[in-house]
Amino acid sequence: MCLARLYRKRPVQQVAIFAIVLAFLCTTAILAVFVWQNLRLFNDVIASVAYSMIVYWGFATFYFHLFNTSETARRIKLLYEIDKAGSLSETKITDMYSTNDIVRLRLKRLVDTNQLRLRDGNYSIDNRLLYFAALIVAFWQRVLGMPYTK
Amino acid sequence: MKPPKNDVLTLFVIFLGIPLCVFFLLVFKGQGNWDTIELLQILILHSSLALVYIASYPAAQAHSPSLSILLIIGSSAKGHLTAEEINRQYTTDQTIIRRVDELEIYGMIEKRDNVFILKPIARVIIRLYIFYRRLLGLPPGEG
Repeated sequence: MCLARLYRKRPVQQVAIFAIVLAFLCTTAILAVFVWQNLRLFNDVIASVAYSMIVYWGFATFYFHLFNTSETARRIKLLYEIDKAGSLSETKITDMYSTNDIVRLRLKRLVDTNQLRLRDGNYSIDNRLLYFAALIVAFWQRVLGMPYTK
Repeated sequence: MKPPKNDVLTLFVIFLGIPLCVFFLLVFKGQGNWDTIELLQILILHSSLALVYIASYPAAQAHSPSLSILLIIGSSAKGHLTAEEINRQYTTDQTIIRRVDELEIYGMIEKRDNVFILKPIARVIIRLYIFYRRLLGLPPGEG
């Protein structure tokens, strides 16, 4: 909460990741002092560290996706717009939330988070991290038998 | 095999509903070699991994436009594209109409007299999202 208010000008996803890493460091310090220090066997320490890491990063990843959904999900945006208006027809929905808007917002976010580079009006891949994630997701779609659509 | 219509609900049942039932069954009916704390640890570990899968699923299922933009640019012959060239790859049907259809299938909205209205569960969900974003000092997401 404090970080989100403190770093208002930074991309919100970056702030969320920063908060998760900060909470990880605090959690690790607390566990080291109150739990791992009191374990007698080395194997118990290893097991406890491994368990804690898996559980923490599992819940952290879930939280990040939940946050990201609140920021970027089209379905959440649609629910919000219908709730605000009370009711909306399909035409009104497509008028107020166009494909152009969807692409423009995403291009801006991808440039802000250094995933894309904008030079002379051309977008190219900058940091390959999310690009590799996209390749993995595309592979997973094929495994699940989902038809490829954009 | 065709995926179920309400795939997110199916994931919740498979990955969280059934394991929770097994957990309570083991706790109340006798659990063999494990005590309740150990079973709880197993449940927490399982839940954290299950939630990762459930949360990442919509990116694949709803064909995240951010990820698909990266794939389109990455696979282009020139290695770069203009906003207009990217825009041309999408139609309103792909980006919005299908999402509206899914909300109807998931029981979040319903069509009455040619307009969409929220069902009570969707109203609760969206208000929770707005409350959560307000706690963070953020306006509602831009989508």
